[in-house]
Amino acid sequence: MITSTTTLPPRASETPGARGGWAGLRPLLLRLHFYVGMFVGPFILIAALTGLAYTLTPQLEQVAHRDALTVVAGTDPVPLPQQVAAAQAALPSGATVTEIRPAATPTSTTRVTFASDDVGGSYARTAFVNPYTAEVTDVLTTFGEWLPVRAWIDTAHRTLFLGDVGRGYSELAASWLGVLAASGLVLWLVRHRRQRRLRTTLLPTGGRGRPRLRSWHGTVGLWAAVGLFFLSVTGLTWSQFAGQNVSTVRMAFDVATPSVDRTLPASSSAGSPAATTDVATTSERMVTVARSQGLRDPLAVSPPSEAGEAWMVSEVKRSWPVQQDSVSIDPSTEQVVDLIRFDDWPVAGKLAEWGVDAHMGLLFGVANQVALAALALGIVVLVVWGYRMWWLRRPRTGGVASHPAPAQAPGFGPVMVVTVAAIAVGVALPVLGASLLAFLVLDAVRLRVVEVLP
Amino acid sequence: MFTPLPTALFTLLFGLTGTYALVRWSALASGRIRNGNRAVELFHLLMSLAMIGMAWGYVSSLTTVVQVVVFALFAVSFTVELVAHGRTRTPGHDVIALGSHLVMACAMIWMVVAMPALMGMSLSGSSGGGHAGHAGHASSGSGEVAAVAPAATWIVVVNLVFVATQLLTGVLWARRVVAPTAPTDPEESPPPSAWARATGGGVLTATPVRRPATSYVPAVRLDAVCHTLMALGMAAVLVAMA
Repeated sequence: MITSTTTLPPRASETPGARGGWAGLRPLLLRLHFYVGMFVGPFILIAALTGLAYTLTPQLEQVAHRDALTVVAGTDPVPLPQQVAAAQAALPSGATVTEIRPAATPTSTTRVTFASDDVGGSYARTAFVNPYTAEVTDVLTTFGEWLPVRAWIDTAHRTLFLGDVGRGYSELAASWLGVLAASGLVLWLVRHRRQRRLRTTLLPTGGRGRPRLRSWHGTVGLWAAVGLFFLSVTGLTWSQFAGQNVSTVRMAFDVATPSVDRTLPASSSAGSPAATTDVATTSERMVTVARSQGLRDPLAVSPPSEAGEAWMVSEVKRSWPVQQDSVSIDPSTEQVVDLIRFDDWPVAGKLAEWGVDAHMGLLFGVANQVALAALALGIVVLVVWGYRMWWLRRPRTGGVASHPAPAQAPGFGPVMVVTVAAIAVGVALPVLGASLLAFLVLDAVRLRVVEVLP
Repeated sequence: MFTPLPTALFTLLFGLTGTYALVRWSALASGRIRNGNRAVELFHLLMSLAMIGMAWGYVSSLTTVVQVVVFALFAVSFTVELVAHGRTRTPGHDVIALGSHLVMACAMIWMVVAMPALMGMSLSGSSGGGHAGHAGHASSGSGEVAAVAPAATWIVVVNLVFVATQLLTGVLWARRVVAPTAPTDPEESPPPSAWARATGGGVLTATPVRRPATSYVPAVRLDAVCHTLMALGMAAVLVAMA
């Protein structure tokens, strides 16, 4: 008989036994907050910096594309068909008009957007027309309604110019931002609730070194928490995988963003869609019908893209009060096919619209931009201070610091509950789940390999 | 994905094994027990979740990639352990346990990769929107399936090989249910409480005797039952897929 003995000394860093309640949860939250900050921090930092740049884009756009966007106010605008025809003449023959935005103010230009195979993706070519002279002021590559400078920063913020792969970075940052905010908030509030000091909870304290940094990190995080949750939730609605789940849930509960029915009635005698010569003349009639239904500037007119489809005219005002009424119109009879008022949207749809617009700094104008810029700066300093605190904790003997409070082991119950919660959240937010999984597996495998290999 | 009865049975089966693994994983992660293998328990937990997900048709291009990467990592880890065991004859390592985990990891990868072909479906990617149009609200794409041609013969044959290996693994573990042996690997077998009581604070005496101490028996049996269920369950899913 062979008898062998393997000695497994208790890990000095862990306290054996089960600890329930806060004593068991705190070490787990500390580790979660630390490791998420360490590994996802760079992605959040990039998202914050590009987001900070994005807050400046309305003004940047006005400066960079002033010639395209603004004209000297005149008295008599030329008819819309003439403006559209001028835009069509500026693009290659046969280019398909996808949207027309008549000048909404006395000093703005009319935008005529064309589908273009040359620019690819969701990009298009847009001609800007002086509404008083029908002169084309510029033709730019646009992304939705955004001009090149904003489209460039927008792409950096969303994908880092890496396409669908790059979208993973922003989804990773958005997924974990809420977790970081929640774990940090709980740790900070419980710590100070026990000390019963309101002032040090809400305001940073003096002192030096790491305690001072922690005080700033905690208080700035506390004040920014609501904004961080907001950015996380609204950011996820755009994301590649979690966004799909959001859409599925909204569809399931019938609270999806409504859209007008563009199916023409069988009795319609409308011809083929968007015939080049028809678009210019029809667009003005469509605008007139839409205005008769109470729609107000700024408007976007969309010609049909396929046979049997009606024209659509939509309000596109995304600042408060938001105007998003839409109407579809049969061009042969000028009869309204469908009409949806923003007031009739489901509450969830309105909240989603307002949330998206606020995330982009559109809802409340400059105040919105300033708030977002402050949030972005807050995130930047939170991340930098977090790394700085970690650096200040490094051992004097060399090496790097591990997670905080290494002598405290998380409780059995909290670990199990948090694991179950992580599984549930991971299903809803797949990038969060996948990244958490990757970390746990790599950590477990690393530990095992270190133990096994001599 | 499957008809309701197999779906319910697979959910129940892997729900049980997943719960067992969750308890073990939590006990290890919290330091409540020290003698165990987090990688193995995490593997059991993820495997159980993946099987439930597959039974319910929760598949997409993302989940496929993630599962392949994760289970490949586990396979590498188990291979390293096996090689280390072969080189050093490290006491306390159970070749059958390590081997069965390696086979299971490979079977999981196979299952994930071959499922579309075996079940006659294809996966599509995901799409979403950008800031300008925020079309992500209305977009769709992830996890959509579409009918494709029946599986090729070689796929069916390889699948049968994996079914056979899982059945064999299940039988080996079932033997331990009937005739439990003392654990030879501190990371395998006894559940937390029994093991912690028996090993007393981290000093483990691994003795490959035929008859384990009485206090071990229920724990060893429970662990063997869990492994048996997982192996046979995997074999059943592989058969159901084909």
